[in-house]
Amino acid sequence: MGTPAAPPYGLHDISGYWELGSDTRSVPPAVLLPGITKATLDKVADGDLISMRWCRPLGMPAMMDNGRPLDIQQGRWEVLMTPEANSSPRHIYTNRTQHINPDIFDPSSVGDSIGHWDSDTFIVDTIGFHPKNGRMLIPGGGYRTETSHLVEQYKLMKNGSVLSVTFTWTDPKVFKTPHTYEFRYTRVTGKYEPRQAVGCDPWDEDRTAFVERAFSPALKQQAEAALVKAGTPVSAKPAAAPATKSAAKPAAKPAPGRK
Amino acid sequence: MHRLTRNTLRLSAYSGGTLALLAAAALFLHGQGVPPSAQELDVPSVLPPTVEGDWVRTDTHGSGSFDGLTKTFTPATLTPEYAGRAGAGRGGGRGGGRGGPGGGQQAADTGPHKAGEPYVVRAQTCAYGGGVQLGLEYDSEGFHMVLGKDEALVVQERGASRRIYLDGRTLPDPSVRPPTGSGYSIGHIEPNGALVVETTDVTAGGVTAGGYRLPDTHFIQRYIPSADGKHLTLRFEYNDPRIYAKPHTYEFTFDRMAAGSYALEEFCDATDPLNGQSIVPPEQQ
Repeated sequence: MGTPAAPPYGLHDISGYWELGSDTRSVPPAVLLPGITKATLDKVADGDLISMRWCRPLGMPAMMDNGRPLDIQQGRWEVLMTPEANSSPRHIYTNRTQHINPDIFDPSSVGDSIGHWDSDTFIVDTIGFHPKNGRMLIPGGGYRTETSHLVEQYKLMKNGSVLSVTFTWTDPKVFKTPHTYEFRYTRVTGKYEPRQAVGCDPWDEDRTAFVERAFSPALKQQAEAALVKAGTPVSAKPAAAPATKSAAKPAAKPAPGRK
Repeated sequence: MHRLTRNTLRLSAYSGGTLALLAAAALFLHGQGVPPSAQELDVPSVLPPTVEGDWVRTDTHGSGSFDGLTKTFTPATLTPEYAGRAGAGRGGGRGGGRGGPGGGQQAADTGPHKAGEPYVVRAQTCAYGGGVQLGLEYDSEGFHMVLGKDEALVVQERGASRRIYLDGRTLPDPSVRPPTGSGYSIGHIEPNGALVVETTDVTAGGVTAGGYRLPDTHFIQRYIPSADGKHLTLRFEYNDPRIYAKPHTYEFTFDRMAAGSYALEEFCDATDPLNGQSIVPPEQQ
C-alpha cells in the first residue's frame, strides 16, 4: 500500500465558498426555560416575519443558512464571512483574545466574534448581539437576545471538502441547557463566482401584498404599524393605531449608538 | 448612560451625506473609540506594507463641501462623443449597498433649513434591487479588506461586498453577465504590497471628476500601501480611448484604523425614521 495522497486542502484552510444541502443539518430541539412559552416563541417568529417584510438584514444565525453559498476568507487578522444575501458580514477577529469592552461595543446583528485554532478546530466565540436587529429565531427552537453567547467549532472533514460547523448557544434568558446543532457545508469547487443577491424592496407594493398574504390580519397590522415615516422625531410614538396594533414592536426606538 | 461611539457620529451623518463631517468624525472617533484592551491586540507596531486590514478616509482636503475633495482632481478630458454624457463630480460606483443609489424616492425637501432642524432626505430607504455589491470608491465609512487564498474580499459596514479574484483567472467577456455596481475584478499583488486590480462589467455611468464609463470599459485601480503599512493610496486609472482624450487618473488616501477598532454595522431598517433623516447641525455659537 502506498503513501496516502496528500489532502487537497490544509487542515486550517477554510477559505472558500460553502453551501448547505438538503440533508446537511442536524438540529435537535432546544431545551428552553419553563418561562419560554409558545406565545413567546410565536411573538419572536412574528417579529422575524415583520423583519422579512421590511427587508431588514439577516444577521446571525440566519445568515449561516440563507440558501446560497457562504464566502469564507481567512486573512492575516480576521476571518471574514459574507453571504450572498442581505446581511452584514461576519468579522471573526483572530488578532485578539478578548471581546471588545461592552461599554464601547455597539451591539450588532452578528455580534462581536473572536476566533482561534485549537489543533484542527477553529473555535469562534461570539457575544454582543443586538436585542432587536436581525432575524432572531435559532434553529431547533429558542431565539437570541442581547445575553446570548454562541460558540462555534469549525472543522474540515473528508480531505477538506466538507466543513462541519457545530453551533452551541447559551442564554440565561432562553435556554435551560446549552443548545447544540451541527451544519455540514460542502466546498464549492472550481472558480465559483458569487451572483448578485435577489433584491428586496420594502416599498414594492406588489411584493408586500405577496409577502403579507400569509400573515394573519393582526400580524399584517403589526407589520405596517412598524413603519415610522422619515422625519418623525424619534421621541414620538408611531401614529395612532387600533388596539390590536399595541403589541407591535416599537421599531422606531433608536439603536443604542444613536441615542 | 450616554455612550459616545463611532456609530453615534457616523449614523447621524449617513443620511445627510456630509463627507466633510464624516471625515472629521473619523478623525475624532479614532481618538475616542479605541477600547482599553487595544494594547492586548496582536497587531505589530511596525506593519509590513499590505493592503489588508481596516481603512478609513481621513483626508480633509475639501472639507466643508460635498464635492470638496473631488473638485481638487484634474477634470477628465473626454472625446467629443462623450463630453456631453459625463456627469460632473461624483460617480464611480460610490457607496452602493442597501441604502445606496436606487434606494427609494428622494423627498423634495431641498430647501434651506435652520441649524438644529432635521429634515427628510430620503423618504423611502433600505431598498436594494439586487445590489449588495460594494461600490468602487469607498466613502467615509470604513472599509475592510481580507486577502484570502484566491481572492481579496472587501466589505464596508452596510453589508455590501466586493471580490477581486487573485487566482489567475482572466476577465470574462462582458457579454456573459449583466453589469453590476462593482463589476468583475481580477488582481495581483506586487512586490511592494500593492494590489493592482483590473475591472470591467461595471454599470455605465459617471466617473469621478467628470469621467464616464461603459460596461465594457476596462480600468485599473492600484491600492498602494505606504512603506510603514499605516496609509493607503487608491488610484484610479481610466484610459478607454472611446471616452477619454487622455488618461484620467485620480486618487484617494486612507489611514489604517487604530488598533482595537472593529467593524461597525449599519443596520438598514426601512421602518426607522432616522434612516431617511438629515444630519442635525448644532446651533452655532
